[in-house]
Amino acid sequence: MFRLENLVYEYADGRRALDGVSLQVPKGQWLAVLGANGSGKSTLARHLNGLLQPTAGRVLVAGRPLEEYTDIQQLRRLVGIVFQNPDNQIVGNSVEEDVAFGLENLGLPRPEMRRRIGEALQMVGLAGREKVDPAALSGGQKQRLAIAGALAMQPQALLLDEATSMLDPVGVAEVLEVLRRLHQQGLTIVMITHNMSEVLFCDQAVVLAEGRVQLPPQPPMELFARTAELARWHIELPPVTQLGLLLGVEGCLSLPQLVEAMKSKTATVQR
Amino acid sequence: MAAKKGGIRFGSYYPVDSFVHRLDPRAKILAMLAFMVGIFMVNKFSVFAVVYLAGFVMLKTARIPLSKALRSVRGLVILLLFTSLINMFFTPGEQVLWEAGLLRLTVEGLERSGLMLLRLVALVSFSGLLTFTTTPIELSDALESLLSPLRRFGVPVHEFAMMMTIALRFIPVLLEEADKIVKAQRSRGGDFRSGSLRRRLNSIIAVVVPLLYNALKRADDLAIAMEARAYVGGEGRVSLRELRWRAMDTLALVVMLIFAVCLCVSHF
Repeated sequence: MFRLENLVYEYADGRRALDGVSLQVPKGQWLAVLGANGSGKSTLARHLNGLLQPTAGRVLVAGRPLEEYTDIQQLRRLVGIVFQNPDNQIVGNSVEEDVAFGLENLGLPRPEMRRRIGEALQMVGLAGREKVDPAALSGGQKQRLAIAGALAMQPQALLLDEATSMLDPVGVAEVLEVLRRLHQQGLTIVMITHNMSEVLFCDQAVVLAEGRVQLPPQPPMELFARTAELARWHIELPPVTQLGLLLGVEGCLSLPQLVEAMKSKTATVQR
Repeated sequence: MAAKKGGIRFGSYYPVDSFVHRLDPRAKILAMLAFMVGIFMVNKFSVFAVVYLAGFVMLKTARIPLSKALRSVRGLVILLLFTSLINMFFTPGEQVLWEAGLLRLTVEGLERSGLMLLRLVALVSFSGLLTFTTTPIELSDALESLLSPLRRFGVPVHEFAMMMTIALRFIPVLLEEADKIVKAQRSRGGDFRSGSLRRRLNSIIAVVVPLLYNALKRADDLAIAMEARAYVGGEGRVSLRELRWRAMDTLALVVMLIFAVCLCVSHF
């Protein structure tokens, strides 16, 4: 879905936010992008739907370089993005109006808009709330609304730029559940996050630091076994993995997994 | 203006179903303009009786309680009294009823003051008919549609309407934020109710500056989010909300135009 070849992005003052990033995200993959603040994660995400143009290097979306998308709406239709603060990305004065915003920009016929709004709200579990004022929604619901706004445009990929960082645990769980379902339906997801527990849902995770890929994409289990390297790039392991390490079990990603590992360890000791 | 978190309740929209609520907002804006012009032209008490009767009939048709319409007058009592008194005591006239220094109460002054009071009360209470029966978003759509011919002269009509929509969307967000900042400043000793004027002004600045900074940050984020959702301005854009002009809109507008013309004619 995405191919980045030696991507470089420089700010106006010459500082490099991305310094030769090469990365591939196959269709249908759920990739987590990890890294400390200022590592270049958000800058990377903004290249994937053309909000930023590379200073050097190439970005290919669905097999075509960014510069070939002369009609920017075509690219925006292909790749949806959801940002950190749900309040700063909701445009409409009702749930329905907000989901419609992107569709209105594409100039779709009204019946088609209504059909897509219904489908998108169904997908994120907000069906029946079309006329509700977004201000009346919880943080998790607002972020699901933002996801619905992106989904209504029927993208092939969804980018999430720390989309859960301002939510409470209930809100985070709601959003992750929606993402899990979308992933099952084959949507490509690129998720920028600081929350390591979320990485457990992903197929692969990549670590970015100082504008470069420091640890290439790999399954979360393998990544979390590289504790020394993660510590070097200021990435904290998920609590369950940390607990596992304290108990002498490596690479645990969930509580049931940890319990199972501990049971077999105890059984071995008893024998 | 009443702003309430958790619902679209700005201005004075009164959410009931009525014939007037169902009218096209463009028809309502044009009809209201005609009615206002008519009211301005009335200069006889007998004609005002007709205006008030028509206004009450319209309020009844729109299912708006009279108390709600009069509530808008309540906020302007001081202005109304002031205007009436000025007219009452400073209008020159032949038949003097009472005189003290510069103040002079004349029959003409009483008449003019009464007419002015009736005119202002009618304008304030009946103009609410538009905002009671039309949501701010409908108003924004209607204005965009009515002003669309100005696009040919380079007037950014769509951008103006989009600004209105976004402003409406962000009022509760900014109110909530202002509330948080006030609480944060109070928790650190900020005092908005007592102290010298200078001290109070300083406290207010301590709220306005972070509020403005955050509003600008939000505006920047929103612009990026809008761009990410394929927003490139009004060109080729289709609004989900469709304004439909029907026969009853034409009928309502024609009736109001005839009424307004009659009011204007009554002036002479």
